[in-house]
Amino acid sequence: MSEPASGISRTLSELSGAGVAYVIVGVGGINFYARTPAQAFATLDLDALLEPTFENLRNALRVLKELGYKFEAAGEPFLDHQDEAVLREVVRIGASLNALHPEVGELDLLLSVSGFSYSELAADAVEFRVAKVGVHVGALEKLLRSKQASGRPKDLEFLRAFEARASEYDDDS
Amino acid sequence: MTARLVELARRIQGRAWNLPGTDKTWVLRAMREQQLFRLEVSKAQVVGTR
Repeated sequence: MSEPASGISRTLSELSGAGVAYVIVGVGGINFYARTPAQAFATLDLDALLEPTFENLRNALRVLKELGYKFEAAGEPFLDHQDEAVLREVVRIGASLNALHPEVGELDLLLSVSGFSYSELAADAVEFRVAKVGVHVGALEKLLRSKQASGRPKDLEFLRAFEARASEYDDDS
Repeated sequence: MTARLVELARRIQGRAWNLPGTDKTWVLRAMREQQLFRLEVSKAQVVGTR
C-alpha cells in the first residue's frame, strides 16, 4: 500500500500537481533504478531538470516557496524568485538554483544538464510512482551519458563506481 | 562510456522492478535516511582509539 506523501515525496507530488514540467536526473535519478536501498548511491541532494521556460521556473519556485523552501544560487541566498527579468536570465543561461528545506533537504533545480536538452531527456523518461504521483526520471543510459559528458572528475569517478556495482543493479535472482 | 556500461544500463532499465508505473517512494526515503545518517556521523565526536 502506498504511504501518504511526506518530505521530498510530497514536494515532487506538489510540483507535479501544479503542472511543473521536470525530469529527475543525476545520481538521485540513477538511484531510482536500484533494486534495493542498499544499492542506492549516497547523494546530498536530488536534481530536477526543469523545462527551461520562465513560466515553468516561476511556477516551480512558487510551489516550493509555499512548501517552506528557501533558495540559493552559487551558495548565496537567492531572493529574486519573483523577479521576471532575473528568472528569464536564469533560464537563458541555463543556471541552477538550490531549493533548501530544513526538514526535507535539498532539491536542486537545473535549467540545463550536460549532453542532453530537456526535450531529449523528457522524450523517453520513465514514469515511476512516488506517493501515488507520477514522477518522470531520465532514462538510465542518458543519465549515465550526461555524467560522461560533464567530464567532471567526480562524475567520471561515479561512472567507474557504478560500473563496478552495476551487476548488483542487474541481479534479478 | 564503455560498451559494457551502455548494455548494462539498457538491461537494468528493462528489469521488472524498473517498469513504468513501479512505486519508487522507497528510493527517496532511503536517500533521505542516508543523508541524515551522514549528517549525524559528521556531528559525532571523534574519539581516539589508541
